[in-house]
Amino acid sequence: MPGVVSETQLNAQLLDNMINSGTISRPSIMPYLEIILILVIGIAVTFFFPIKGRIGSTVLVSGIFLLILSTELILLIAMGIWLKTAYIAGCLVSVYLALVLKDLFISEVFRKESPEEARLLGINYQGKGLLDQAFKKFQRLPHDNGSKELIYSLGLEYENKNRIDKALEVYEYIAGIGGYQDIEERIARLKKSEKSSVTGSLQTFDGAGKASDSGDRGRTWIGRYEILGILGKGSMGLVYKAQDPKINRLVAIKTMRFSDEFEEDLIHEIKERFFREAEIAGQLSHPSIVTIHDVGDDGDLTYMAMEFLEGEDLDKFISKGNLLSFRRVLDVIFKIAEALDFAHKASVIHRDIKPANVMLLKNGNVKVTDFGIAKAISSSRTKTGVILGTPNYMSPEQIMGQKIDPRSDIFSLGVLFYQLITGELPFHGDNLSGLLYQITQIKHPSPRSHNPKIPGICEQILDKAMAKDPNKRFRSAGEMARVINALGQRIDQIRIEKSSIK
Amino acid sequence: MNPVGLWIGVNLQVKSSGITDVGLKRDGNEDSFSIEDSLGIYIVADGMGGHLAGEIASKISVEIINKVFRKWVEKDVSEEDIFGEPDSSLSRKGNYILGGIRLANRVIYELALEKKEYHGMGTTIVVLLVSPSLVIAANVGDSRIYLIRDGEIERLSKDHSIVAEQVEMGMMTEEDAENSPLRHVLTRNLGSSEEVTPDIFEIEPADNDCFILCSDGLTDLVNDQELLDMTKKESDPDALCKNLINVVLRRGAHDNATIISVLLTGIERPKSGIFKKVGFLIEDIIIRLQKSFKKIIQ
Repeated sequence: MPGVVSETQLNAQLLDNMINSGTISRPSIMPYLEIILILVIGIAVTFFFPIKGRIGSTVLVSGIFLLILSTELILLIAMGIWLKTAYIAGCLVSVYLALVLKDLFISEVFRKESPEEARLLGINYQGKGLLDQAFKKFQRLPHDNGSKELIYSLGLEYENKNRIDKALEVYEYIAGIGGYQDIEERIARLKKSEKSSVTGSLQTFDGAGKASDSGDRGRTWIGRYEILGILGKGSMGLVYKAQDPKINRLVAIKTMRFSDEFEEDLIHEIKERFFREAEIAGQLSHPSIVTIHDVGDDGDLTYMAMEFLEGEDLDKFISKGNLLSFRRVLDVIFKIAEALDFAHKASVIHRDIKPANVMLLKNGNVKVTDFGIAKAISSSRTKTGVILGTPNYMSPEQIMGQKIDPRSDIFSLGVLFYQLITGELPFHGDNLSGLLYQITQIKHPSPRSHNPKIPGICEQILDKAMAKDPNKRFRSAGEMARVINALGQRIDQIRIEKSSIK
Repeated sequence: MNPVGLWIGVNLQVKSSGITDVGLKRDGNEDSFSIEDSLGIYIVADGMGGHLAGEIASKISVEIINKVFRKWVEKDVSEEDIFGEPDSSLSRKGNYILGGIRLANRVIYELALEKKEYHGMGTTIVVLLVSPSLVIAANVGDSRIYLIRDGEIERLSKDHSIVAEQVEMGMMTEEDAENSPLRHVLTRNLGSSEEVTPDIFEIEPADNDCFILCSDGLTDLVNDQELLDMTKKESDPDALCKNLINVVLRRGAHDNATIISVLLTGIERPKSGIFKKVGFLIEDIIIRLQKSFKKIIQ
């Protein structure tokens, strides 16, 4: 370290000075000079090292290092001026080490794109109309005539597409790396025409802006309903608050754009099925099942008008810190189970029980939404690779593509119950495949591992609801409802006893 | 030239045929295929994505792979100068195919990222290369390559779908897999991520090898045993393709179906010759050593 060495030197010098009655001065400008030197050297090495290669940069560093050290010594010995170089040298060495380490490790892991690869990508990007990406790749090429020709042709294509600013950028890049053919003339001509076309391009921009506004956001009517506002986003489209002008009733309109999810030729079939399912679900009249007023389509939007509810869905209450009280969860699950039991008796299987499909109302009621919709959608083939919704709540038999019966809903309700009391999902996977494996093969971890306060009986309920084999689950949602209700009442009883003792 | 090529009869005869059909339920055909007998390269791609994007993704991939493969072969480019890190366990041509697939993936990926109308597009791909000394099969996604040899059928491709992985892990039976709602969900395809790893398989050709490349429009409706039976009955590629597509149409053809059939003849492997056998043995040992050494390093 130069600091240490210079200290010894300094002592010797001090002694020498005393003997020769000289002085060491440290002019007040020195600290500033030191900072400036640190900056200059820091910037210089950061930019020049990568160019010089590993051996070159090592030689460069040791050279500068020695230079700094000898400057300090010479200044001190010959002129008696003290310039602190320790920090400067430290800066130099740390930049060097950082660059060497980066070279050794990072470059090995992320192989640099070779010029040939950049060229291939550039040509193919350009061929497919990705001009901006092509330009980025071409900028990495060595500055030879072959590359210039490629870049020049890219500039011409920009010009043809009337993207004058980009064409100019490309031509100026070529001019910057040594010029090519008539590049200067082209730049001059484009600069002239660019000025005259500014107003024109502004107008087109304005027109495009207006056009995009005519999408969903600007909508005021769907079917016969007047849109009052957006309530949220459903799995397949926006949910609006709307008014039925005929009877002045507030409704929630759930919209779906099947064309985004399904092959065009299937859409008609899916719509039909959707209407049919909605009609069946619409006949379910239960205090905990949301009432469906109407279904229909408007352009390529399919919609469902439901009773307007003031409340929140359970998505808000599934993470740690936001959980409902245990007693409240029992009440919610009890009500969902009763609603499911009612639907099952009418031969409707929900198929998509998840937090987003259960509303918790301000008045404390629970409403289950989206009955049967999953059936309309899940049994049709989506565009390859598109998965609707999350499989987190799917039952093993649903995943395996087997026949579904009401007990599938019981499994999903078990998953929801688990999540509401622990704030964790029972099944996890790093990827979809891992998750599916967990659901079909692995028993969920005990809820008490997340929250030891959960009573043992509750663990048994979950084990029964989430049994892999449907035959081992509750025989009906009604049975599950009764067990949960009994547990809730037992808890109330204990509380009353406790308070009366007090 | 590969030294093995000198040891066997190089009087290779290739007969090929390809057919694609939009099917009975779809409006557009998102499959693409190409047959290049002069290069011995055959490709089938099954695109996905709304409007015309699926069609474009499959077309682009076929076009790019053909183009760069031809270029690299003509210039006999070294493995180091193609696209991406070369795989030393593969032959040079195997690396060309690997590079071509990677390149096509990147272009589709960028296109899908850049243009709104192409968002979410992708494609599966199967590539077959035949030469007197070597057959290379590469795939990404759930389109397949079958080899029918000595009265047996074998898949040279590996399905990259969730259910295939579940079947492989023993969590699902083949039967469940066929009925699963997730059977068309892919774990790999061209265009969904910046990098893609194809499965590439290199084997030696034999006389009367019959290859079938196809999209899931065929394999959804015709099982492996039926494919084998039909090939046994009629191995001429033209007739075989027509027969297969007829079966697909008869069974409802819910999806686009594309089939290429390739038949190799004229490969005469000398039956005797102790030196040749020893030569093959040594080569085999060396290749195995190389592969296991590579595994240890990794």
